[in-house]
Amino acid sequence: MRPAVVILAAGSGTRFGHITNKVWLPLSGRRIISRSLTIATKAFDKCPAILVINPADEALAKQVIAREIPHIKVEIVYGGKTRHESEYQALKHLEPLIESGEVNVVLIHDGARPLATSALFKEIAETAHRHGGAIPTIPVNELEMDTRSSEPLVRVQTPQGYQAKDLLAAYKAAAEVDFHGTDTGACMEKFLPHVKTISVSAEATNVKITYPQDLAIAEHVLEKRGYQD
Amino acid sequence: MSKEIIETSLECPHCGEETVHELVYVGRILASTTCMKCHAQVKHEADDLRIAYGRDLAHRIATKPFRLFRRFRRAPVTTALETPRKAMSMPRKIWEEIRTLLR
Repeated sequence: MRPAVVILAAGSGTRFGHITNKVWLPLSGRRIISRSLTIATKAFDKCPAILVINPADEALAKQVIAREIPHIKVEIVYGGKTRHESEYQALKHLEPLIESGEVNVVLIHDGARPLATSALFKEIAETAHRHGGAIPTIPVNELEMDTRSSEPLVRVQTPQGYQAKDLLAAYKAAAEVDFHGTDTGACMEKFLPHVKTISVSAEATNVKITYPQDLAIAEHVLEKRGYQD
Repeated sequence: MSKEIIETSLECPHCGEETVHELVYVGRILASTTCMKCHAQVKHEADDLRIAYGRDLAHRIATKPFRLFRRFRRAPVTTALETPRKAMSMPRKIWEEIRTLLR
């Protein structure tokens, strides 16, 4: 297996003027994005690590990488207006490695999820390599829903992993018809529905930093882990 | 620097939408977040914050030699030049953090 990891951090922090994109916030002494990158790359002996950023954040990105994670070789790619476009930019950057076979599995991870574990990355990569695709899911408690559903519902997290050539093909097909999926799995489902996507047990602590309290939860989890990535 | 204030956009549970939030850090600990639209605040109780800060400070002190050594291996010249100045200002920095907590 020859994986590559893509960390998405291109979200704009400038929706309300000049403010910080949450992936660049400090979390127990290091930026959220540094923690996401460390966990993602620690899972594998050697793998290309692509950080997709907003061009406005380039200077900050270089400074943070140099200071906090200089041991990780990070390739910076400019993202697009949507998550889907950012994913496509990363895949286009990886295209030569995918075509040559140097990368055969790609994992795409949301930079605002700094608490995923290396074990989860490994499991997603191995499952995607064996079956075609893998996404981490966690069952939704029925009590959380307004209406009852006969089908079991799950919450989907990242990293989401797919065999590299299939993923690139799906995103190329999406670009031709200007399709913008909500996540990696949505694009694969639309353009390569025959590719099997396996659901892997997600981690309850793998929260996406969305609400203010998520930062407090993340701090607490990191403290319990001894600040280890 | 006794405390650091950063503005970012987060979903406010009270407003039910994404709004600008002001985040206040004391050392490495997030002391509070305030929605700039409805002013809803999420914060540690003062005692909890002091305990969390104390634990974090102990961790910072315990891991400092290792972090310094790692930095020195990466950039020996810069680290050698910067360390004395940083070491001199560290007691004051920590004192300022403690003063902020006690306020």
